[in-house]
Amino acid sequence: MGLLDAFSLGPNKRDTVLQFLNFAMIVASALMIWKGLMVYTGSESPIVVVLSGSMLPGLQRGDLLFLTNDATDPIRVGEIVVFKISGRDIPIVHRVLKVHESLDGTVKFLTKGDNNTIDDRGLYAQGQLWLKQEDVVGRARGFIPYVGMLTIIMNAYPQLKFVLLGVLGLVVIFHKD
Amino acid sequence: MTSLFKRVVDTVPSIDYHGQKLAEDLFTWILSGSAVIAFAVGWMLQDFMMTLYLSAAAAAFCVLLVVPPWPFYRRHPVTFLPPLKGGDHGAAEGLATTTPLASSAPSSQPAEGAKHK
Amino acid sequence: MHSAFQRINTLSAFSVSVLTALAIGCFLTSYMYSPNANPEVDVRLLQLRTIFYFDQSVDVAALTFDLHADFSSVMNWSTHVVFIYLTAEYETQNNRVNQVVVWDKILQQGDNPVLNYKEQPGKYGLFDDGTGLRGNKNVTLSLHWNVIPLIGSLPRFSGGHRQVSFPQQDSL
Repeated sequence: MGLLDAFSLGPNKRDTVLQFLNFAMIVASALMIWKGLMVYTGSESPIVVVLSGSMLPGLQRGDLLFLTNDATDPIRVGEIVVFKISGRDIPIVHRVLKVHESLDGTVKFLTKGDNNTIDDRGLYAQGQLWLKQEDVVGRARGFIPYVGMLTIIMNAYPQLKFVLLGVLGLVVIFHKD
Repeated sequence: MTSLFKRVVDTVPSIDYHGQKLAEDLFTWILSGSAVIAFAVGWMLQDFMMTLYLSAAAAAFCVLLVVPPWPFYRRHPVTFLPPLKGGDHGAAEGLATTTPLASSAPSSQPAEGAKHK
Repeated sequence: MHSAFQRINTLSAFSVSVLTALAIGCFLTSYMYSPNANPEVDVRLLQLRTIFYFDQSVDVAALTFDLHADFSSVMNWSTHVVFIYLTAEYETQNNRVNQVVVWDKILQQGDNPVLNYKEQPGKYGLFDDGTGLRGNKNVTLSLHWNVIPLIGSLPRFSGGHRQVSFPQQDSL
């Protein structure tokens, strides 16, 4: 099958359209699953990759975490939480060290990485002493080791993302080999 | 447009249909069986790394056993009927030669099917 | 399957399936092991003071504790690491729930699963969010542990609850 045949809407117009539709279906399904998970777990990012070694030896860089974020189930000490500091993008995966829940139900808590010697107050925003429920992306419920390594490699070498997409695109186009 | 890797690997001769089934059966059973054994051994020793090592060893063995086209995968080669002369319909007249016929006009009906032993 | 490339392909895919099945199987066997470590906790208050911390007066307590626990059943082949922590939980006038970790330990494969501590000092000061520790009759010290498996869910368990009463006066 020659190069030109692949790109022209050749004698098999329907085949080409079908291929495109298949591809679109895969993308749409992936998106539906992701959004569905977001709704089901209540977390804006139900699957995260551990980026740093601050939770060693339990969690390593490249581990995949499954999160839930049930606001009716209050945060308690010892839970592994993923949170974002306001103003910063990167989610941090640490463990809750202290919890104080006031009479009206507002919860404030302090976190610390298992592998760190000091708590996270130094990481929080200027003047911020505690984390609140709103800062939490989710609480870790389960994990798979190593599987997230691909994300980390792609973050370290962004050109790889394009190489991978390019290869995938080529495979899809020339699949009817 | 095949990848370079595929082209390199495909320079080795292919194996026949019986061989393909044999190869697939072999690795299916060896990998499944070794997985069960590896799981049991790991559980006894309370060491999952042992399970992984044993399974990896079995997989490596399978690669050696299944991927290269060993002779025992090629013991039932497909025998094709001899090419027909133009104008004839069909029945092989027992011309079981493998050398091409001298008056080799391109056959209008290329030999279909093959005799399977 | 006629080409070596296809055989490599199929073999790899099947190997990954087998690996996944093994991993899930390993995780499922974890339910067969008791997650109970049967901890026994005893606590002594060393010191209770009130200091000014960041923006308010807070009570700070220093403790030592005795701990005996057996994590042999928790530390099975499907476990990667166990994160063990001792918490102080209590209620105050301002806060209905307070939980503070005073000590933690990471138990790994190969470590001695039986813990035996005598007069172990706390790792982190017991800081209250206010002055609710003085005269608090019901401060519960508990041992919790979070099992981090090779693959699977991350459950938490607790035991060894010990109730302590804190005095009104500074103790030293």
